[in-house]
Amino acid sequence: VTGDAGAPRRVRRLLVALDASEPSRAALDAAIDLASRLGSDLLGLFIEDEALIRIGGIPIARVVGLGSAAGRAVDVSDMERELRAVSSRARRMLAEAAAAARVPWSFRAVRGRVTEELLAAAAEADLICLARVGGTRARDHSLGSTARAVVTRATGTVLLVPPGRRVERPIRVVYDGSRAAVLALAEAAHLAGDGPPRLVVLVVAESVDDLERVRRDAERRLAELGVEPRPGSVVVVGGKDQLAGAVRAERGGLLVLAAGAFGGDPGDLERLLNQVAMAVLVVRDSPRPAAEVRHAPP
Amino acid sequence: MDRDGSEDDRAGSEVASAIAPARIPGPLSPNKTLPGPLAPGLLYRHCDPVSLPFETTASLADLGEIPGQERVDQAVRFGIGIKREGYNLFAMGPNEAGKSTLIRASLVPRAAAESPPPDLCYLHNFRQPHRPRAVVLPPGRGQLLARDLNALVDDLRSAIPAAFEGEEQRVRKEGIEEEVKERHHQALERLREDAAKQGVALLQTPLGLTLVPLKDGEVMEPEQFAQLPDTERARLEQGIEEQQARLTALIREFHLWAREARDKLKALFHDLAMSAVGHLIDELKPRWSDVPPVLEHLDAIRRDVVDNVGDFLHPPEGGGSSTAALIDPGFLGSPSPFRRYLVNLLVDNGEARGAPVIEEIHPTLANLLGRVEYQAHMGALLTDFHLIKPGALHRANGGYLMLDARNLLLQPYAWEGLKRVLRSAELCPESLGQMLSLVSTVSLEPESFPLSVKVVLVGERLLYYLLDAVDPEFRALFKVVADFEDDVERTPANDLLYARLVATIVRREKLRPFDRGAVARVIEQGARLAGDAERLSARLGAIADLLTEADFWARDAGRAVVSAEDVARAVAAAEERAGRVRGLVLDAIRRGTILLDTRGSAVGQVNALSVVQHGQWAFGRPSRITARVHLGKGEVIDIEREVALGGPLHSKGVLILSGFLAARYAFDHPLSLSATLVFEQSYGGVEGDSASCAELSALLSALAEVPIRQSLAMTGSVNQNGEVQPIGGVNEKVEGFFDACVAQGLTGEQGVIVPAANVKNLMLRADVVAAARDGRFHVHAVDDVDQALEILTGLPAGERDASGAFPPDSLNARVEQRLIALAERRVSFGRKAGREGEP
Repeated sequence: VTGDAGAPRRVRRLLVALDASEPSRAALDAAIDLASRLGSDLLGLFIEDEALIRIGGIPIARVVGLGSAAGRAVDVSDMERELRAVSSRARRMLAEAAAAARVPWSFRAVRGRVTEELLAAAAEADLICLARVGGTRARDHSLGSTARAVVTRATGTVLLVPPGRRVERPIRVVYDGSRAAVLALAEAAHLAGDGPPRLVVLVVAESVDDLERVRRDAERRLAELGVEPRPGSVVVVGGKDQLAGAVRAERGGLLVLAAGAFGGDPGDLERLLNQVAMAVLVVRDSPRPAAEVRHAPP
Repeated sequence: MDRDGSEDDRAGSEVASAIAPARIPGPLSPNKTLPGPLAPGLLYRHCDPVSLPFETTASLADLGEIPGQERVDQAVRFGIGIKREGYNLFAMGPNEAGKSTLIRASLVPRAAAESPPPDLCYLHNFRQPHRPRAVVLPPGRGQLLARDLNALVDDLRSAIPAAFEGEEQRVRKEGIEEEVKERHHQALERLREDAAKQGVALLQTPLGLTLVPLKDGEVMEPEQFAQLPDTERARLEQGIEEQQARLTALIREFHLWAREARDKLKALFHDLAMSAVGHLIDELKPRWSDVPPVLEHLDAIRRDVVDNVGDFLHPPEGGGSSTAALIDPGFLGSPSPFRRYLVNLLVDNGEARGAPVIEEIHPTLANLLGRVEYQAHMGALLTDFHLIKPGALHRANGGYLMLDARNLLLQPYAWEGLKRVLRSAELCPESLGQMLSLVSTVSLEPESFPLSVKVVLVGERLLYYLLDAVDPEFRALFKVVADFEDDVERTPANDLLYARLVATIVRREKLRPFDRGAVARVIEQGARLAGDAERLSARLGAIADLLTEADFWARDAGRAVVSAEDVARAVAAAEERAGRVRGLVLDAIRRGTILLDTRGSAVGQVNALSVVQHGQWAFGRPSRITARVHLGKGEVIDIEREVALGGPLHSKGVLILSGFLAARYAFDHPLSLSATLVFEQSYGGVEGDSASCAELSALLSALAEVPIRQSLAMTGSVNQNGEVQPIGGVNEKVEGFFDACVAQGLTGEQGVIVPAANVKNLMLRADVVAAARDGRFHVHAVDDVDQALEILTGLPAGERDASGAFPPDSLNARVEQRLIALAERRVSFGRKAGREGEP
């Protein structure tokens, strides 16, 4: 789909998973920000989790509110009603934020299993944006189960947003000279835009001998993309094991990463994601029809 | 009278020759001679232009003081010099006497020599926000403080966000947040593990934390649960309940942890703010080490900024404007938290040279004591210490405040307010609205400034004496009186000062210069206004009016310099403009509506003179007085008094006549006449005793049955010894009879008899003086009633000889004979009545 230079795809529709929680609020903000920058439509998706509704069928199940600390029994209809309320809160949240940023939006609530529904809806979008974690699990950097499943199984590009943090520059992109990395570099350059050059290429290679070659390759790619070379814009990291160490300390900014990097080992990708605190854009060469792929304007 | 060759000098010698014969022998002395008419030079004391050493007023220097007011000058010097409580001044005197001008002229140079008073400002009171702090600063330091605090707030607005947004601070802040999250997580994980042991799952859902039974590590399906045996269900239920209780306790603990985290964050903010504010404040302190209240205020700012550091991190709307603009009242609408760190500089004496001399022409309570203004915002009235406005007393603090007493007393509560602050020597704004509970809104109670001011009240004498009488505090607060003279002595030296005064007014009012003749004429008019040939009026307002009007007539005549002619025209025109009533009276005399004879003679009838006052204008009006006598009990009836048309002074004059009659004539006979005296055609009331000599003359004429010349009019009061005493308004009276004579035709016989003591008051109109010079009108001066009678009747009055008898055919002899005859008739009448009355 992409040429050698790896032209970025146009993101026409951006899917954001909403559940009115704090982490999903961060995902929404990031999605709105991206959508307004890329001129995309926004589709908000709320999934009424079947598993939760089924819990309503167990009479001894209890729900404890975080605010009130009071526990209560819930039946199926309670569950449905409360999920509808959460759904409309999520819709309101989306409507307000999108209206403020003047981003075209739509909202959909579906019932089903969260990961399945999310992946199904992702097929309609060019990019899927979701919180790294759900609920209150915000302690460590490890991925939530939904995020893990989506990153592993999605066929398109995925943006993972950490809670309480905005997606901002600098944009760091991992480059190992692979075909997937070329695409990731193009996406990153596109996102960095014409503003202050805040694009940093992190050069990674299988062996030390390859590093210099990959670095030169990266510089050439950057030049092809029209990015002015600048001291510090290409950083040699080393092997893939050094990569996590290089980005772990960073909190702000966005890490752009090709899903197929490091030889396409999902285990490597998951390990890396578990160690990174910042927002991560996992770029995947989408199997979408060629007709929908357009080059970004210069 | 020490100049040679002048007209005045000649006039002076004529005074001596005219008056001396009457004066030397004393009243009723046997050797006296009848005085002739006064020399024309005595009727008007000229000011000789030649005696004035200048061409026009343009060459004269300004006059700072007013001639002849040395008493005032001393009082002002004393009042200013004595720096004790209560030594405020009251400058009293006639209207238009130039009181304010003179006081100002005395105050300004003295005030300029004093050191400028301190600056006054209000600062926010961080402990009691409704009581702004009154701070006194050395002169000129107020502006510096305002600049320092503006700069401080500017610096804080950039330094604090910078301090909070640094990487280190962010890490510390996030560390605290992460720590609490980690505690939550660990606690929940422990609970999750414990629950799993009991076969219970803890899930996070959009609805909250949910506890459900587990089956093989997965959430149990409802169908599976339904198939469980009762014991298993009960076990699971108990497990869930236990976990729920633990969870509830844990969540409560979360709240505590959150509070701890907040406290830690607060402490962190405190440290950060302290580091940002501390050095900025410390930089300022050395500059203000000599002003402890400012040091205290800086410390208070430090504490307040640290407590309210959020204001600087998330400035509300309106906070984005420049710091200096924040003290605009408009910003109260969206109150900026930074206003409280700035200065309200009430009085800035940075540019002051010497102590202030302030005049408040509208002395309302608020204009004197200052006020607290309000800003309407969303239907409420808001205020803060920036809306405290200074009053005249703030501006005058450390100096002098001049107030018009009448204006002050006319303003509600202003007098009370002024007294209160003078008494307490403390100054703070007071609102009339709040004092009277007319306004009830959130307000301020600002602290007071120490007050040290010298108040000068300027007003009429009446106000001074009224205040003195009715206000017990007045005397204690206004201990120095500057009492202005109504007029000043007319000496050659004062003439020259008067000329310089004219020059000063001419320049101030931008009039044409006056030549020396015009100035001489003004000096003469000054004497006329004083009603005294030997005095000059101190009513500067009237003189200024005359100068302005003379300038008008000079312009009318196309002259560049005002001449004597213009001054004379101004005087005449002013009289003419006010002359309608006088014209009506003269017309009535001419047409015979008012019965008045100015020729011929009549018994028991004399022309007296009164003064009619309307507004500021006065003119003389001749009146006929008639007397009738008949047998009676010895009383003189004043018809005016009987009908309550006569005032007490007039009645007193008439009653003196009985005393005179009883003492002089027939003292060994009972006084057996009844006499009636009346002011003919007087319908409006008579007051004063200036006609008593005329009344006596009419009475004696009636008793002696000797006619009185109607071509003469008489004024003067008389005492029981028959001496003639001076009266007021002599010029108007003489002119009034002259006008009446002119109306009926001047015969050359006519004239006026005035008391000799009034000769010095004569400043008669030019036409009267001219007629006297031509011998067509005469002014006689007399010392006693005998002289007056001789002139009026042409008969000698007569003195008692060695045997105690009056010369036969003398006027007095006739009067005595008539009185004895009346007494005898009364005795015989009494005998006859007694016989007829016997049984």
